[in-house]
Amino acid sequence: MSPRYFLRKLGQALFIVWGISTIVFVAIRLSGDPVALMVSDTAGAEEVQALRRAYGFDRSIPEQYLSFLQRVSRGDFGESLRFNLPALAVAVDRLPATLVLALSSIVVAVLIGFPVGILAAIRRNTLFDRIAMMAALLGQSTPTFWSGLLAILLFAAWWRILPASGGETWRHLVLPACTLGWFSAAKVSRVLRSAVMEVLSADFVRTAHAKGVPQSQVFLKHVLPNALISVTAMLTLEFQLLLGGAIITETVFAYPGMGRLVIQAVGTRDYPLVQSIVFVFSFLLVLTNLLVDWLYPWLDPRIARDR
Amino acid sequence: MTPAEVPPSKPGRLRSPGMLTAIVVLLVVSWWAVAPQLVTTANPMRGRLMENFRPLAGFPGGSLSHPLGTDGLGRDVFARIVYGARPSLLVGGISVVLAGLLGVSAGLLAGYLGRTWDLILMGVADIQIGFPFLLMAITLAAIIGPGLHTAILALVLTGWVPYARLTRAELLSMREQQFVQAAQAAGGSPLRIMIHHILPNVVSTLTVVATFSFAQMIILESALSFLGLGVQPPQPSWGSMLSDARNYLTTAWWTGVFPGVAIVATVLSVNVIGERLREVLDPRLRGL
Repeated sequence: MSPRYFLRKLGQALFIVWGISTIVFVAIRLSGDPVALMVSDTAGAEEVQALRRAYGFDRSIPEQYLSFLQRVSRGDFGESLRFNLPALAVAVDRLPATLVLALSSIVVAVLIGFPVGILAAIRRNTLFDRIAMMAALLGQSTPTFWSGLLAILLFAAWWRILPASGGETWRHLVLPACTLGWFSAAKVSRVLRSAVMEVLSADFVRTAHAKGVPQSQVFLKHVLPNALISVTAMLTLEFQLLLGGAIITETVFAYPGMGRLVIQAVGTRDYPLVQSIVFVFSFLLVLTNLLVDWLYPWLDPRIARDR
Repeated sequence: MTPAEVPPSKPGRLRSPGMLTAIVVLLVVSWWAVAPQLVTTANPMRGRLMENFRPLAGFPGGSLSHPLGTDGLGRDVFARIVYGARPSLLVGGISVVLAGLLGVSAGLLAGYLGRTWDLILMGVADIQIGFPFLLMAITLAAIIGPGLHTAILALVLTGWVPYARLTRAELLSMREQQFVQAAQAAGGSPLRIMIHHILPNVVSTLTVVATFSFAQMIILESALSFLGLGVQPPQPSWGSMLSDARNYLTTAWWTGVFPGVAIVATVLSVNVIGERLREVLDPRLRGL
């Protein structure tokens, strides 16, 4: 594998981060007076003036853009209006909770999606396959904020076996992680099913069968590894969707992560905090993308050779 | 699946029971969206506080005057669901059309204007990876305030990418094909070739993508309204109804159940139609 491939992917990731910063800058400028977004409604005219000078909003647009990029690269998004602390620190403080939620949801999705997808592919067009795929379509059509409400209703309100909200113990994680994971399990099973079916019809599988390799060996050594390649890419995408989904799920279950915080921050017009959380989320998305891009040639050597 | 294994699509498959149910559901929901006042006489925005938390008809305390019960402000749940159909379908519909137009134009331009434009447009599409819908919606809501316009803007700004990628990819592969080269040799202008030769070949794939994205957008709109960034109270919407219901789920479960049924029924119907369209129009997309 050439180092050029790694560098190119890194460059691409940096380009995306730059692009996101630029979008945010343009968005702030288009909003009119950016200082008005940063201060509370009770702020006096002097305070506004001081901020305007401190952030350089009295200078020209290109100058402002450059200083904006400088501050972003230092991780300086200003102070959170509500917490009176550096906004980025407030955001990062809630990051572990969100990561734990997203990762456990992926685990749930894999635990449900893998067996169902593989079985459905092997028993194609049987009753199991049909029911599984119908359930998957239903799962994909059900928004997490509704399945979450139903889960609270059943497990917390009626049966009282799990807590409805909060995030102190692992028991608080079960409902949000299952709600979120259930939704992606639907897609995981569908993608894995078609990936396995595609590999099953490949020439090398027929050859393996023809030379008398036992069924289980063909499946474990030839079919599964190849099918998992395309699923890996999908799982990254899914992890990214789960990070986004965490914003909704955390709100449903009052789970103390970054997602719930950002919605509260929009509500209280805590703009520096909104900005830094949006950045942290974007950064995570770009980072996971980069990691998978880097891992991919190792999973599928054809990629590095082709490019 | 290899192409040889794809069973030939039969026109009769369009008329399956699932498809029929899906069409009926969508017709009913569209009727609600167009003329809700013909469906129910109850006021979706105002209720009587004396009548709050009435359960649905058939349960103790419920009555046929409020078939699905009332919410915490005494508003008729059924009426709110009926009136809530409009923002869902409207936002989804407008956004799909705008995102499609934007994406197809960007894809055609990227594929036809040459390398510089291609790099710029596809670079912008790449940036979208790091800035998905909810982040866009949150940023916009913080800047221009929450509301339907925020929902539509965020959906369009993030939804155009698949159309652009697809159109560009098809365009690049088709440019090499004989019928396009023949059209060029015959003196067809780039615009004419795009509209008469390339677009017709992409339309069926685009239709399938648009159908699934319509379903996705209905979910996203209700998610935004659930988070309080979309439709604003007291206007009824399925998402905000569920958000209200969260506060009194233990006392009034029906307020949290039926708006969700409306979302799932609508989205599932669109998805079922999408699946059938995919089978009939474009076998290549199978398994995606």
